[in-house]
Amino acid sequence: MIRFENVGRTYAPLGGARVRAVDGMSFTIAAGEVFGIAGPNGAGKSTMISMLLGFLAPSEGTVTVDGRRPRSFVESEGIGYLSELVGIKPSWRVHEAMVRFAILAGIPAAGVSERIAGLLATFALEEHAKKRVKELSKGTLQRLALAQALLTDDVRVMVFDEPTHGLDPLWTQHFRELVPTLRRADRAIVIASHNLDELERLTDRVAIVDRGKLVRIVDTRQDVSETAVTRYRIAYRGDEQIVREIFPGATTPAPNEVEVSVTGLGELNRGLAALIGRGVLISSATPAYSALEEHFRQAVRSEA
Amino acid sequence: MKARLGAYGLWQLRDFIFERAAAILIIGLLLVFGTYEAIGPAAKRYIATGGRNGLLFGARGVAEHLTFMWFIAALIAVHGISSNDRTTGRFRLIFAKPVRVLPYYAQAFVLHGIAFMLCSLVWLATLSRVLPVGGQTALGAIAILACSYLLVGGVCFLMSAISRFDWVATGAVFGGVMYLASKFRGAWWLGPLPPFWRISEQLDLLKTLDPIQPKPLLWVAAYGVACFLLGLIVLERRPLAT
Repeated sequence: MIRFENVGRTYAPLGGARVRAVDGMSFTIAAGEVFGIAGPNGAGKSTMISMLLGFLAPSEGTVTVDGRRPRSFVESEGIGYLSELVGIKPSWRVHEAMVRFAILAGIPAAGVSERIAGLLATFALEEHAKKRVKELSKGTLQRLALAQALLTDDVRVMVFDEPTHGLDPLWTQHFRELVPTLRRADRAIVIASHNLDELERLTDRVAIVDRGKLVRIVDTRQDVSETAVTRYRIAYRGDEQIVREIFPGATTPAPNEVEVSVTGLGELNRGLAALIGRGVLISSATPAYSALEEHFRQAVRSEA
Repeated sequence: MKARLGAYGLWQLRDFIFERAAAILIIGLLLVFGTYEAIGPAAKRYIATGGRNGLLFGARGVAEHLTFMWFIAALIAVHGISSNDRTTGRFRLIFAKPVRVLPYYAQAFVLHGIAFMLCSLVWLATLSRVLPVGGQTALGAIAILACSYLLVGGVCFLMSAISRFDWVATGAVFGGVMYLASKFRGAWWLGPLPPFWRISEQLDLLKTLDPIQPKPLLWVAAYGVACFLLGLIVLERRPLAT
């Protein structure tokens, strides 16, 4: 559905230094897939999304959506898009903004009111309908931006750039419940986020990008713990010396707690069995980071 | 689905009324008010004589107003027409919908032009309550304003497609060209430059109740339309997110 083939993008501002924002990036996103993009600030996520929507042309390589140039695809079908910086005119009223976007989305005149009413209700925006956009809180504005992204049901590509930025925990949860309902066999959904936990919950795969390069793609549906070096936090009661003998590289973040690095669950369980065998009581053993966080740390660290 | 661009035109028109028409009308009507206040008893007697004298007085008044207004009003009508969306990032949500860039901005340019002319008619109608404005003067003023919109609008549209600082750039081009045209009147190399001075020449004709010349005005209009079309080509080729 979406294909990046050896894509590069260089910014050359007048009188400024050239910046390589994206470098040799290749990957595909299939229809039916929820795909995440993660990376530190300045990694190239926004540039990737701009190229995906046809707002920017790659300096090298090609980006295609359903075999077409992105701009051509967007102009003929539209994309459900939530931008990181919500560009809605501050003087527009909430209902007015929705009507304008509905017209631009091509919703027939007869269906506009009903569609907008449904979305305003879904995102609890009814009480704000007459307010100007500039009067909205960050979270409410984000809900409006989400609502306009979902105006048309039949889009085959959805792109959410930092979708839960500014949302309170309740609405973050609502968004997480919403994404699975948007999944369709003929639709690709892209979510760019700093929130790795969110990406791990919502996506099938996550591209980790750093300084313009695709460092790795993590399949979040696979149990990666068998192969990756993972840090676990172990809480115990007993002799610390024994713990250090069995896990030589352990660090101590808190009293009666150690953080250990192991390769796979097998090594962890052998270590825990040895501890128990020598009289140490284990109260908990949890990953210090999620699998995706671990991948992210390793990927970004290895690039540093 | 395709965007219902025609229906969206009503919103573009509404934006013009609230954001631009008010400014144009305020400038125009303040000028009319200033003229009304400035007309003393002697001028009133002159106007009252009617005939050619009265019409001449009215024509001069219209031309003086236009000298002050034509560039500023047209600039207000068009500036930022595409660059504002890029500067504020609004293009992202608009053009994620099935909207083609060229028809969207071309429609905005045409609608702004229509609304600009409606504002001009309101101004002229109000002015004609204060000064005796003959049919020839009124038609001449309308033709000059239409061509002003096409020229200033066309140049500003092109600048807006190229740069975020379109109104400054258009103002600089206008100032530069007018200076060169006054310093090197009739020089052959002025030909390719935006013919702003042609508008001034037509205003001089308007003042003396001479008929305006269609040929220079056609050149002005054609030049503006060419800039507008060039602006569309730039918009088609340039990436939106820069």
